[in-house]
Amino acid sequence: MSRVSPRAAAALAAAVAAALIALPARAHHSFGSYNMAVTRVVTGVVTRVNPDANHLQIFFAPMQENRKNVLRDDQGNPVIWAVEMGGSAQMAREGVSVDSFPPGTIFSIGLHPLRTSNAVGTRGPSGAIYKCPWRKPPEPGKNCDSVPGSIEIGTGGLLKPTG
Amino acid sequence: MLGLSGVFGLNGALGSGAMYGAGAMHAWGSVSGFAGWLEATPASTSIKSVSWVIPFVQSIHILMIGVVFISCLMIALRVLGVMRTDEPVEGVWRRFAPWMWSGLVVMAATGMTLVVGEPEREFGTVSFWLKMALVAIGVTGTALYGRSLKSAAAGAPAVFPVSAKAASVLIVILWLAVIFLGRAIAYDKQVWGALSPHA
Amino acid sequence: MPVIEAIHVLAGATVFGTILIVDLRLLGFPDTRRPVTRVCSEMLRITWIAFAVSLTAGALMFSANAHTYVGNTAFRLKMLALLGAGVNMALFHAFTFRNVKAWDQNAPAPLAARIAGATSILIWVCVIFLARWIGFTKGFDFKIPVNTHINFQF
Repeated sequence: MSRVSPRAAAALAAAVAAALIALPARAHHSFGSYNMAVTRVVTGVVTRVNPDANHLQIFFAPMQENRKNVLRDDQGNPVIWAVEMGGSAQMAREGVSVDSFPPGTIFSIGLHPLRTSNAVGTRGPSGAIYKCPWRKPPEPGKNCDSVPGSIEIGTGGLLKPTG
Repeated sequence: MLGLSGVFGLNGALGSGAMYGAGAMHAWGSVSGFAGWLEATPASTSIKSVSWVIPFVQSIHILMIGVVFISCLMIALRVLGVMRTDEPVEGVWRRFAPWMWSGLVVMAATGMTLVVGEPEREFGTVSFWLKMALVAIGVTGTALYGRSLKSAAAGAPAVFPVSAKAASVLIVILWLAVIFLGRAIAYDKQVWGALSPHA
Repeated sequence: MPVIEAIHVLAGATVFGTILIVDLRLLGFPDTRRPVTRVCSEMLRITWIAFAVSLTAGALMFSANAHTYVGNTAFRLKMLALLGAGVNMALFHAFTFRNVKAWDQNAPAPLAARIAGATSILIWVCVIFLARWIGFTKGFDFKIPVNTHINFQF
């Protein structure tokens, strides 16, 4: 085997390590089915948390703009959406679990919708989730990050919605 | 645990470019930029926007794991004298090597499709780069292994030397590691902890 | 989870790879020199061990997400395909394999054996495709659990 110069090897190792550090974090499987170019910020009321091992899912009723009640369909039933995020073990460490997000929890999240449906989104690789204090919805048009005493989960704040 | 603080220190130094100078920092810029460029190509967009392409390609990749790994295992077990002892080693090699090489070609093609589809998902993990390094070693090792088997078989030994047996075990372990790393790409933070860029 | 999934993938691929060798032998590939009985006995040892490992790892994955799996079409079809593989194998061993002495070596296997081999390859390819599909189609259950009250008036 031919000799590799230690300097070249060090530079290569450094380049790979630095590339690893610099690249944005990604979640479990592909975001391929999600339209990552679209970001929607929603505030909703949790109906159920599904602690799926690969992707924790939060089911929720999005709130009306006035934050007085949840959105309803023509029959008056709550509209239910879902958002996927990291694996349940990981999310529990960050503070999202069946116990910490019981039904009735009000929270805000920036999500990227499915290409095929608006009712399902992914948290994607970045952005924080905000949990309002129990039964304390935000002001009209605002989100949980504006409510005193809300809990921030993750970093980067709420994502900026796209037009 | 001792290692982790060291890794954090290293991260900091690399992040600021203090330790390795401009050359290395320029190199990472190219890798990251390449991933971004690839992500935006029409090929990448069509791979990820058709919902069945990625699972379909992954399924073929997994089928080929069966073909390549079992072919390699058959050759190794023959050298170890565990299986197919009714056949000469070069017969076993001739029977399975073509399957192994064709399987590897298909795996490279499907693997590249997955990388083009989601470059940032792959390039941003420790597991991916480690897997690629082991694949390079594995392919080179298998070629050398095949050559040495042929020359050993020319002398027609009844029992292979310890070195050939050790090489057989090693190469099987190497492919096992590659298979595990493949699955670990999806779980970089869980598997690598502070070493992962996801941490 | 990644370790269990990797074991499941590896064991599943091993089942496929070893059965493929048996099935191809039934189809006369690469030739009929090696006795069918010998190929079967040496390969199927590995197959069964791998199958047991795969089943154990699969059961662990299932128990972590039982609710999501049972309602999943790909999962149900995969179970059906596995059942099909079992029936195909049982029929082969109960009938076709009984007079294996007549075609064990240096002779083409009877049509029934060749059909069983081809069917087996087809089924196992389906099993692996369906297995991969489960992870992408686990889907969403939007139902609000009973006794969940979200009818707030703030």
